[in-house]
Amino acid sequence: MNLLTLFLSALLINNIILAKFLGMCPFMGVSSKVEPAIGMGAAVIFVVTGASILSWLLFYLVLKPLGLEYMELICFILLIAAFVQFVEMFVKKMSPSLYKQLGIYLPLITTNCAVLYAAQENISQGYNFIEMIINSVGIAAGFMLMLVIFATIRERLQGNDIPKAFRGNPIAFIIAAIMAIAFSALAGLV
Amino acid sequence: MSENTEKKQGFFSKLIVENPVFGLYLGICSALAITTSLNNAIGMGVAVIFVLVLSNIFVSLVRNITPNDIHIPVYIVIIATLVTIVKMLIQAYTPSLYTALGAFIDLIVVNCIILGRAEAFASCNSVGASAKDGLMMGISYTLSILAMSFIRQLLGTGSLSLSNPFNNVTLFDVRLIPQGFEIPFFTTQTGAFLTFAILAAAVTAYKNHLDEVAKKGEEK
Amino acid sequence: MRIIIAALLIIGLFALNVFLYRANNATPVPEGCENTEMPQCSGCGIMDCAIKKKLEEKEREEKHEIS
Repeated sequence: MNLLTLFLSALLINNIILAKFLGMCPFMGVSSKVEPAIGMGAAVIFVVTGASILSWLLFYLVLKPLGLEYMELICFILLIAAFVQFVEMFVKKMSPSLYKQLGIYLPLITTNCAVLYAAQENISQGYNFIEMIINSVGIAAGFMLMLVIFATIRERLQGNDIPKAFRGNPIAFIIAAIMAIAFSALAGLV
Repeated sequence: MSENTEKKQGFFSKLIVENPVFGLYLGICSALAITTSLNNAIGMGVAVIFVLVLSNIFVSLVRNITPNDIHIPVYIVIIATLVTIVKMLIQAYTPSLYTALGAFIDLIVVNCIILGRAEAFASCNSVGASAKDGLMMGISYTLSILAMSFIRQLLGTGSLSLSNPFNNVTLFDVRLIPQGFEIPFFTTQTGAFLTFAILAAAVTAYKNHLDEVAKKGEEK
Repeated sequence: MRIIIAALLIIGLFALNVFLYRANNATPVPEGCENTEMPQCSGCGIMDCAIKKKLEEKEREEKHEIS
């Protein structure tokens, strides 16, 4: 499959937030301002790519040769949790400035649907190593893109007179609905 | 008589206010994605109830012997094992549901409701109370996604249908909106967001109403 | 035989997790970052629920101080 097509598909068309509804939880919680959104997005790209590589290797080197494919879910989620802890420890020790930017979001990503989805999608679609990396980076970049756009819109809306029942999260979903319409126009791109 | 109605009102309002999907915004990923039909909603709801109740029981059983700093990997192992079992059961006994729900059965593992209840309730309460809490939360979740599927399927396809997932026998298929007048928009992603926003706004409005009533009661 | 390998795999990953969680808790947060918290976590994720408890306690304290 064409790598560029794969990347665009993961980034825009099958966008993980607007098309697949995954990763919604931090979407609501971290998107009130633009700077935390960028930090969260960068953290997600890092974790998704690293966790996808590790889980792909685990599947094709250990689980599949031994016929243990049913263990995929347990092994992947444990691997993701371990990887996130490792990354947080690494960032704490190596770069305090980087920790300020994205270290605080790292624990949130363990239970982010996006990471587990990316790891499992690579397996279920049977991608090879390069395709797996492109797909994972595309998914995570799509997450970051939507998160930053969303945060920008929410920042602009902060002073406005929103109906009382819609304040907080419901208006966020209305914004997401409008974004979904806008980006669904790209469906014919591929 | 008035005590009973008070209790009923308390239960009803608790169901709406402490609703995991629209009140606490947990588990939104699956609530948005699979609510295109009543079948999917009931299937997912039953799976979540199963995992939630059992995980609460097991977490409560081991709550005194897990060291506090590593309780998260322990919970992850328990929940992931339960979800793998549920997935295998669904794949074996209701294959149509398996193809409909797809990857979202696996994503029950990272469903915030299950981990959240394990962390917040089951880790410090007895087995019986945890099981009951799991059941209540699961039923509340199922009712919310049923509400959303009801709206989306009714407005999106014009008919409500339910079929037995074990043998694909249609239980009922009622067309309520004439052919050609349905709004397919509601089965798309945008429709999901919109329905969710409206239901969430309704729950927030109800919460605000309750707050105002409480304030007036305090002033008196 | 395969069941033994599967069990060993789970136990191995679990032990790796325990080791890394303990090591991570042992490394101190760099100075200047101790009190950054999530602004508005709507109950997403396990760590979030842990932070959510702290935030709820703070809210309760503030309510007590006001009233």
